[in-house]
This record gives sequence, C-alpha cells and structure tokens, in this order.
Amino acid sequence: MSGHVVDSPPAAAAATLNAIWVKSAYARLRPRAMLAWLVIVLSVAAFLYLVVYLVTAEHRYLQHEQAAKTALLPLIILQAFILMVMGTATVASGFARERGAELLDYHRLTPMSPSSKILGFLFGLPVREYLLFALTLPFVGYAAMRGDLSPWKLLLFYAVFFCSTWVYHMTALVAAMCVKRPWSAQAITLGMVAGLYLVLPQLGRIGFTIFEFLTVRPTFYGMVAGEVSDVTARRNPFFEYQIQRWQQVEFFNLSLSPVLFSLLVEGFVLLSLFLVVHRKWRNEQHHPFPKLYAIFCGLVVHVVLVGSIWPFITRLEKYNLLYGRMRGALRLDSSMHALLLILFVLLAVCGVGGGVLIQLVSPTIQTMRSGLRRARKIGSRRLSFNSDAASALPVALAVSGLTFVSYSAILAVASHSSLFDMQPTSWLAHWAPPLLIGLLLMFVFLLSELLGVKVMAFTLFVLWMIPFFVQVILLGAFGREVLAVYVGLTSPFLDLYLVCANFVEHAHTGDAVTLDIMPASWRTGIDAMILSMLSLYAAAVLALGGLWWRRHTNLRRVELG
Amino acid sequence: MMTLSGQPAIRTVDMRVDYDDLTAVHDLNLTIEPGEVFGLIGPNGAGKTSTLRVLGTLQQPTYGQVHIAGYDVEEHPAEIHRLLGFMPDAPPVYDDLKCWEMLDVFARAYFVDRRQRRKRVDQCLADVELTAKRNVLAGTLSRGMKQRLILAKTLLHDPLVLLLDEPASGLDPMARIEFRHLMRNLAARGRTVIVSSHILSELSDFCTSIGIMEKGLLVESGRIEQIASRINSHRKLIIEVTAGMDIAQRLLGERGIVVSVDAAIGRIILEFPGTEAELPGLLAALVTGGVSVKAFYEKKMGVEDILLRVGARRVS
Repeated sequence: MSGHVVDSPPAAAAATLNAIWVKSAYARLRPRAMLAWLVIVLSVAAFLYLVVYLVTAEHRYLQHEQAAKTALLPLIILQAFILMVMGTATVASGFARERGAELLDYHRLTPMSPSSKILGFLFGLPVREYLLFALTLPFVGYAAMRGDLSPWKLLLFYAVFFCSTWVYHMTALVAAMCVKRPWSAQAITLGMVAGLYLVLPQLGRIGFTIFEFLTVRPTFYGMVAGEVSDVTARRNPFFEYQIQRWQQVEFFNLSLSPVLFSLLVEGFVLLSLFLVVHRKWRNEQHHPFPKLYAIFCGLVVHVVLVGSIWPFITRLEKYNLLYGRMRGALRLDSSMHALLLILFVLLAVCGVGGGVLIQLVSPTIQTMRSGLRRARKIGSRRLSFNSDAASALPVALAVSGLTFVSYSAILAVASHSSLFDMQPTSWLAHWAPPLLIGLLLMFVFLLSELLGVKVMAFTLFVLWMIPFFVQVILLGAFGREVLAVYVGLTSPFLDLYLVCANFVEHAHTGDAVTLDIMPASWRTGIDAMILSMLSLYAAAVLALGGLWWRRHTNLRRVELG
Repeated sequence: MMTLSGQPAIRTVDMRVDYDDLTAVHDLNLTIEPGEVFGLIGPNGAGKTSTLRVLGTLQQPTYGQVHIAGYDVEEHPAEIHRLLGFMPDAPPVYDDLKCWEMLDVFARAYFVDRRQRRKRVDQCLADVELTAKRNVLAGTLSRGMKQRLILAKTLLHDPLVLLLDEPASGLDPMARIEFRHLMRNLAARGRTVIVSSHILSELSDFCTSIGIMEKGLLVESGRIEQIASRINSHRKLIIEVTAGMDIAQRLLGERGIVVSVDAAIGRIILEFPGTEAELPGLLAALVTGGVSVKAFYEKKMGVEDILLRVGARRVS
C-alpha cells in the first residue's frame, strides 16, 4: 500500500461506486443535456403509447385491455432502439475515443480489477441510454397493468432483452478494442451487430435456429407476442407462424423454453466476448482467445449447429413446419433439396467460422520469435500449447476434425430418418464435402502463419474472388459451364456447392435420375472436377506445409540455439 | 505510511522490448534505490518511453524481469498499481469532465478513503495551482494546465514510485519552478521518481542519479557525481582575477595545466588534474605569486555536460 490516503481495495470497492461508471455519469448525465433527451423520449413514448392505444381502442373497437397490450409493441421497439442501437453506438464510439486518446492507460494503471473496469465501461458508457430506457418503463408498466399481462412473462422477456443488449454492448467493446478511431469503431460495431445479430439469424429460416437466439426475437415471439397477437396475427400470418414456432425450442431431442435457451446461448456469447475484452485489457497484443478456448468455442458452435438442425431432419412435423413453408420460395421440390441446403450451409458456416477462429489465434512471426526468446531466457525449449506464440496448428486440426464429425453426424441421422430417401454413395462423393472444408481450413491456417493477415487476405482475394468473378461471367454471359468450373477451381464458393450437390445426387438416385440441382454438363465429368479441386488444394497444403515446417525449424534453431 | 522496507524501488534484469524486428530496449539492467530522483535521458527513439511503459505495467517486456518495490510486474500488477503513479508524455484529459470531477473519478479508482476524497482532490489541485480551475471543464484548459491536472491525478494516491515521461515539456517558466520544488519535495518524502526529459538543465536541478539511453542500450547510469568522476578525471575550475592575469597564466603553465582565458572579463577556465585536497595549495600559490583572485570555484558537471561527454566518447 502506498499512501495514508488509500483504503484497502475490497473494503473501498464495497463502499464506493465503480469509478468508471461515475466518470460516465458525470459526463453524460449533466442536467442541461439530459433535459432535452428527457423531453424527446417522454414525448415519443407517450405518442407511441397513445396513438396505438387510442387507434386500436377507439377505431377498431377492441377492449381497452387488448388495446393496452397492443401498445406494448411500439414501446418495446423504442426501448430496443434506445438500448440496442443508440447504446451500442455510444459504447463503441466512447470506448474507441478513450482508447484512441490513450485515456484507457490511466484506467489500466488503477488498482481496480480488470473485471470491474470492464463492467464500469459496459454499464457506464451507455448510462444515459439506461436512464432514457427507464423513462419508458412507466408506459410499459401501465400497459402491462391495464392489459393484465403476466408480470412473470414480462420479467423473463426483459431478462433476455437485457442479455441481448449486453451482448451487443460487449460486441461494441470488442470492436472498439481493435479500432482506434471513434467513427470507424461505431461503423464497424454497427456492421458487426447487423451481421451477427440481423443477417446471421436469417439462417434460422433454414433450420439453423441457433443464430436466432443471439437476438431477443425468439423470446419475444414465445413469451410476449402471443399476448399482443390478437390484433396483429389476424393481419399478419408471419407473426402467427413465429408465435407457433417459438413456443418451445427443439434441440437434439430436447424441448426447451426459449428463455432458457436464449439465456444459455447469449450467456456463452457474453462470456466469450468478456474473455476477449479481459485479455485485451490486460495486454492489447494478446490474441482474443487462448487456443484451448478457441477449440472449446469451435466445439460449442458445432454442437449447437447440429443440435439445432437435428429436430428438422428427424421429425416430420418440425420438417414440415420449416421446409414445408419455404418449399415455394426456395424451390425445395423434395427433402433431398432440403438436405443439400442443410449440408451446404452447415459446411459453409463450419468453414467460415473455423477460418475466423484459426485467424484469431494464429501468431505472427514476430510473436513466435518473442515467445521463443522468452522461452530460451527461462531455460525452456518449448512453448506452452496455450501460448499466443505457439502455432495455431492444433486449432486448425481440431476445427477440421469437428467439421468431419458434424457432417458425419448429420448424414448418419439423415440416413436413418424416414424423411430422406438416401442410399450409399462412392467414397469420393461421400467425403469430398468435409475434405474440401478441411483442406481449405489447413490452407488458410498455413497462409496465415506464413504470410500474416494482410498478405493472406490479399492472396485469398486473388485466389478466390477473381476466379469467382470470372466464373460468374462465364456462366452468366457465355453459358460455359464446364470451363467455369475449371477456371474457378481455386474458388471455394462453387466448389462447395458442387461437392454437396454431387453427394446429394448420388445419395438420392445413384446415376440414373437427377434432382436438377446442377447442369447436365457438370454431371458427366464431375468426379474429375472434384478430384482436380481436392488434389489442387492437397498439393497446395503439402507445399505450404513444407515451407511452414522449414520456417518453424529454422526459427527454433535460431532462437533456441 | 508505507516504505519499501529495504527493497530497491525499481529493479530490471535483462529487460528487453522488441517491436516486430526492432529492439527498442536491449537487455536493460537497472536498479534504483528508494528516494532517488532518476533522470532517464537520451535522444528520440532511445527506448525511454518503452522502458517507462514496461515499468508502468502498460506493456509487457519481450523477456526479462521487472520488479517494482519487490513485486514482479507480470505477476502482481494490482499491487504495483497501488504503489505507482504514471504520467505519460503529452497526457490526455477527459475533455467533458470538470477538473474536480476527473480527480474525483481517479480518487475513487485508487480507492482513496471516502472521507478524505474531497479533501485530497482539493489538496492535489492546490499542489499544482489549479484551485481556481476546479469547476472548469478539463477540455478547455491550456496545454500546460492539462499537464498540471494530470500531475495532480498522478499524485492523488500518494504513490511511492512515480514515472514521469516529459513532465515539464508544456509548462510555463513559473510552473517549471513549481515543478522543481515539487520534485524536491517528493524526494524529501522518500518517493522514488523516474523522469524522462529532454530539458537537461532542469534535470540537473533535482535528479540525484541519471541513466543515459541510446539505441535501446543503457550506456551510463548512476549518481551524477559518480558518473562525472568516472567519465572525467579532471576538475573544471573557474578563476576570476582582478589583476595579475599574466602571472596566473605563467604559474598555471609551469604546473602543466592548459587554460583558456577570457581576458576581457578576467576569467580563467582550466581542467585541473589534481584531487580536491590539492585545490587550496593551488589557490595559495596564485595569491602568493601576486594574483588578485576575486573568485575561485569548481564547476560541477551538469547532466548536459555528462550527456555531451558520453556522446562524444561513444562517437570516438
């Protein structure tokens, strides 16, 4: 302890408010600025409540209870806007500003624990938004009371609502940890939030419902929407469909409450994001995850992917609820079309997710060198598995292996399900899809460790995007189907579709009848095409693997002696 | 009040800092005892700021051990944070907080006793002469005032070890005088201070020891007088005479001493190879020889002289 003026931390921490929260409260709750916000939010909330309540009660002759409940919907949207949109933007820009101005260093030096500092920023930066949210609560309370809405349901809904909010805010902290300029951080955060929590949940429409639980929607439809649906459902069948869909969550053979499942999924995401910020807080140069946690993340993602698709490929009523509805929209003429879609999305998600994980924990050559120097200094000849300086090879192998396991699990379940008419296929047709993803993941891993992120990104653009563009032109403008495949052999987009479609065609009918999922010209030489693409990537992986091994050996020899 | 109980205030063993392929600090071995005011000097890019950031736990060394008051920086950062005050170069402030609010926030962050917090904030504002700006937004302060505010923040929890990176660069002359007093006061109270600065003349006024860094290497370190005697075996004497300049030059020449003379103001500057005990003899010889001596004194080597001498030595 330094001076006579300082308390012992645990006692002091209990007796005082979080300093970082207090800082935000001082800066963002000044009466003059607050007064303007207060007037705006109260007016908008009152307007929304009254306009919906009065219109439904007076012009559509609903009972006052029902009208009051209906008015909840716009209020919840307003609350979501305040906390999830405004709050997230504030967290991102505020944190990035402090980091950019190097004000964060002051907080790094205080004896508060890293966790309490992170919580201080998490709840402090959007302090104004929390207060504005609180201003809308009397309207919600009145509507709930007037509409005789179950307080328990409302409480559970808000538990998930806040959990989602914190997930968004933590996403903002993570983004701002990586970007210094406030406006860039804000834009990147909003992009991340839109991607992770608006675009990705769309995969729920084809069975990967897990992504929908990153949002408050399943809980809203499962818990609250039923109460306010009398008016809306009659006019909106989609609303009714969602209410029916989210009464229970099917996961493997379990039926869970959407609240519990949302809390579990969001809790895991929150924990992972917290871990990232915590590690970055202690040292900005740290990787977001230790390698073991990256493998654990991969495992969790694979389990929830398979678990969420499981009911739709094992139970007819679930299958019909989902794929029956989209038959027209996606031209799903048979269950094998649905299987193609499932396999394609599963492998694409495994590939992209695995690639991102590998990227996050791959060391640069400088990190490796520093790690080896540190090891030499303490008399060790090896790096610990979890060290940032250690190679990401175990992670690359683990996520590739997990892709094989998930793919095999889905196929094993599908082949025993009465929903799919499947028969054994050739070895190549069966294993080409996960093999392609495995090779791609190893390719990305090797490029990443050999070239670093920026050069790797450029290399992948040249190898994947340019052939893809040419492919599209050849297919769209000239109808050169076979040439397009060979030109784009290095580009994984069509490759993945090709291997999945080939498997589904073989599994469905052998070679006799087609499902019309690929051009006839592809069908004749498809094995050669698939073999070519796999061989190309296998050769690239072997060649890069040789280079990687040589570099590792040299580096160890130079640094460890 | 806690003391360092026999531990060095700062001790580094083979501390190295790499940035990609560049080595910013090369196997630094440094020990600073409690109560010292240590000036860390060197040209831009010498590795001073990297050293301070590692000592301040803001950056991990590539390898090596760093102990502050006996605590390892990697293993016990929380303990070190309680002992340490760090003021970065060109320190930023919270533009949207008033001066007292900013200090109050950090007083809370350092767990300053709740009952003393307000008093402590006011005391620190007074120490840096910012009481009049107590209720002013920090963003509206001048650069020098911002620097003083951050100095106040650094002193809030009465740290045992202070790391100050260019603390006086934005201060006006009056504030610099105040700053020098503050440094002396801190040293008198047993606080250990490391100051990195380009303003060498100021360092001479309050530093008890210095370290000279160049290209990541600590090329000299120790107490100023020790370094001075190490790098310069001759004493620099100044003799002012009112009459007998020629005699003085002759007498000194007979002893083999090279002198430089400014006859217009009657000043002789010379490098004396003897010991301190031989100085009265030299003065007596001049006086008895008929020289009217007005002043006779030894010019102590300043930090500037040391840096120049070390630089010249390394170049040669």
